Amino acid sequence: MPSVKSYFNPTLFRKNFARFWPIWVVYLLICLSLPLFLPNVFSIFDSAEERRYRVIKFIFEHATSVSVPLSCVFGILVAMAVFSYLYSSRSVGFAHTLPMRREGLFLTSYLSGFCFFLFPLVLVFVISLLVCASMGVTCVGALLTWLLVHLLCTLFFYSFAVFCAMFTGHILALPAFYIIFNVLALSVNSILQMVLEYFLYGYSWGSFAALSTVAHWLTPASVLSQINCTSSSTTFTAAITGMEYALLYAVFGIVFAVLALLVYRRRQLEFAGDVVAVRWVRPIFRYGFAACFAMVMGCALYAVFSNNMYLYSSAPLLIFSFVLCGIIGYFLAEMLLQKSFRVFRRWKGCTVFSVCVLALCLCLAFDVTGYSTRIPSNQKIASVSISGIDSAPYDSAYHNQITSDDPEVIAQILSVHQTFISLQDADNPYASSYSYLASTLTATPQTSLSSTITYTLTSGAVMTRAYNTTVLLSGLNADDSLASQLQTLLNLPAAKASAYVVNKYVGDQMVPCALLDLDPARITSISIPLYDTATDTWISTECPVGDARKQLYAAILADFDEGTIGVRYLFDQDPERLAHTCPNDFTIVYALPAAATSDIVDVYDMQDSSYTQLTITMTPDAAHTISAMKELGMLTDTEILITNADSLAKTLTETDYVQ
Amino acid sequence: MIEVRHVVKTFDHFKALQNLNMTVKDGSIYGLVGPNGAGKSTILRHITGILRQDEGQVLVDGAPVYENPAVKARISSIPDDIYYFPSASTRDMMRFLKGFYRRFDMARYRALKDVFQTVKETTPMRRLSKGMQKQAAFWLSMSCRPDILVLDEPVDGLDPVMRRQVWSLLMGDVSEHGTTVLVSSHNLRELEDVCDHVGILSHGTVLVERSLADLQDNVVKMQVVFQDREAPALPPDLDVLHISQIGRIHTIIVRGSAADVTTRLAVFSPILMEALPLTLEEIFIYELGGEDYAVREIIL
Repeated sequence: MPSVKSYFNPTLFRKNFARFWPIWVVYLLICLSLPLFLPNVFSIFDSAEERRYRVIKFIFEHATSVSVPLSCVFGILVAMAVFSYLYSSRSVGFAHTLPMRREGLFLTSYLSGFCFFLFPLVLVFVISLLVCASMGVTCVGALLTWLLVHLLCTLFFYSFAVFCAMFTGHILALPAFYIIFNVLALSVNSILQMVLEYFLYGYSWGSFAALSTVAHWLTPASVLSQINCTSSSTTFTAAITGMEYALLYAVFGIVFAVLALLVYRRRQLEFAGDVVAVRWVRPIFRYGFAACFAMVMGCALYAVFSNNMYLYSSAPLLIFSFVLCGIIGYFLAEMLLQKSFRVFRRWKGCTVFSVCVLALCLCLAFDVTGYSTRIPSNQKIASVSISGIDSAPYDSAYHNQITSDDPEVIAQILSVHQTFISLQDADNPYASSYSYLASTLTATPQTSLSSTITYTLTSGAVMTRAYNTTVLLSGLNADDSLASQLQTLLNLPAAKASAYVVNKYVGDQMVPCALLDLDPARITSISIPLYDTATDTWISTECPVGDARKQLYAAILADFDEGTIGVRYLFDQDPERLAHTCPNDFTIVYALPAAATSDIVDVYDMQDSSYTQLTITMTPDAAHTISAMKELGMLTDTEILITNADSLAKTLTETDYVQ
Repeated sequence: MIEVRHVVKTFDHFKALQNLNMTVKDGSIYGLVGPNGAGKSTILRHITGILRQDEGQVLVDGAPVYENPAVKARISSIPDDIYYFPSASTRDMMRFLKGFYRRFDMARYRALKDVFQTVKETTPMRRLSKGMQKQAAFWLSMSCRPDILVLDEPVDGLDPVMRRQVWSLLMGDVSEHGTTVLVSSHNLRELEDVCDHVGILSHGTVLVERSLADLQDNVVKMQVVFQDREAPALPPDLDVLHISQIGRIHTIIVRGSAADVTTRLAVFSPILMEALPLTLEEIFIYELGGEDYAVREIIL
């Protein structure tokens, strides 16, 4: 049975510390910024409680802002240093003739590297404790949290770097692999989405939400950036959120360290100096590199070609770009593996790879899965939302998405979706540069749309499609045109009700507030600018307090129900909209229910976040509202409403507006 | 005893060692010779436990070397390309090795300081010349008091005086402590002086492995002057490795003992016949002649 001594050698441990002292000394100096700046975080006039709060807040902010980047950078530096003996045949030979098992070499090197972090951190912890004590502040818990955050992040990044170190035999390839693997999942996800968007008509970046979620979890920096400091200057409390992520990744770190040891035990030392030092990883590297190169450079090449040739969609060019870049990527990978430029005799593997890329591209180009033309059946849809359809007038519903489970809305969105699909080859402005240019040169008013349709199915699945197109005002004359269908959709009662919802972010929580569901008692103000004929200016008129607000709000709702207010127009220049809307918007200030805000900790110490504001454009047809305004004395002979058409005629400018 | 049994090692589709067998007896000085690329350094890297064989066994006194610290603690090696920590001096390396080899002999280290006087103990090794680095490597390796010393081109870079001194030290260790020395070198004349066993490697396999005396006894160089100017037809069962003629003198390299070959050639009643021993270099050349390694005459 091997003795403990076989697994740890103090001479090697000490030697690593002595050889690579600049690394841990620089790390120590950076960490010393904590005790160095601690005395500056509060003033002598602060109370003891406030002083403690500021110190703890600074410690937590230091931990959350410094730990991830510092451990990320130093993780790879330390791994490169302590495992540098693996990267030349001379040093490999020397290290492995020593009377020690590989486990011993690994553990001693790994532990010495980890202590490059541990010792400076503990030293800084002790110094900080003394500095705090000298200022009369006790914050052992906060400093222990600081130490823990640093150690957990370090455990992950350092172990991950060591894991990468076991796969390569070239010291310069190690940081490259480390950086690539740290962002690989997110990058591949983005590139994959881009490729699918190029090939599949209607593809939306949100289509495979699970893929994005997986990519997020596989990207350490993305997850660990969720470790934040929350504080409240009113209650003098500070805390670190997201510690569970640090703990989880520390566990991953231990797993990576164990895997690294297993790989090291099987590592073939004759590969020292090679880019990939583990035999079974070499084909993975070859084809993985080629695939990534094909996707990244294929997209870039296609973008260059298509821009220069004024082509907005050309499947053959896209396929050519991918196959060409796939071939180049394959031979580049071979060159890296063989350390030679003479790799072209390995054309068989390249041919197989190219045929696979070509087949995949053709499958996507011909949409063999029917992705582009798939529409869910009405019965299977639980709810639907459509976004990216801006409409006039410019009140709270201007940019809002429509979300509804109303059958009428669902049927209309399905109809719109069908029209989008039919435009794929006919009217798609991106289908041909000439039709796009023609549409831009026309004098007819038009609007560009980047709309996304999201179906939530009864099974719980989500289906998303995205379309970019341009619609013309003249299209409103034809009932089956996209413009007409969208106009109809916008004015369905359920769609309008959904559009007049304001989402207020309080802290990191979103609190929705619907115009039609307001509690009149919580309305704190209703105001509208009116035109003063006496002075030819605009004046802001406030609704009287008390029941008057309830009365006016009820009148607005009544008009909304009758469809005389809240009418949506797809085109700003629509003559109907100019004639039937006023430039006057009601502004309703609403106090959010206490339950919506009570549990929310304000991350940024911002105050007064419990109010929201809705606007709705007044129309000359809103009989109930006009009547109520008259009753409440808001409308008089001289303070009147005018239409947009009148307003344009008077050529009023903003300089005429008077509060 | 070092035993290498049926060892196979492949590097990226290239078979560096093919069913290699060799045995190095305790207390012997074993010379490993062979052409470039024959696999000498590769087998030495297996014997020192650096590389893992694909097939076969590498044993020291019956125990595998690979991942066996107990066996590795008995082995010290000097590779062709010596490694040292970039800023380390000989003394630093001594301290380092002392932490690994329990038998590291400080008295010997101090004693050897006088032998390797030109090597300053505190000078960083990277500042030493190649020959001095080799001296430092010998100094450190011999201070480890190994049972087995594995040397790859050990005296390459050493001046003649230092070569003689190093060989003298090695032979002293062999005779006094029973150290086993496995040495790979292209300097066959030098090996001939120190080795008692020789293994000839070619294409990753050991062609011949014998004691030097047996090896020299197995091939003989005959210088013969026959009755006629031209040589008669020699018996077909006579294993002639090489034949050449200068004037009337025929030089025939024949596999077999000197006595046996002399008797066989005596039937031709030669005017003059003399059996001469072959040097190791000649054995190397003639043994490898059949291995597509014939020394070709250069015609300008």
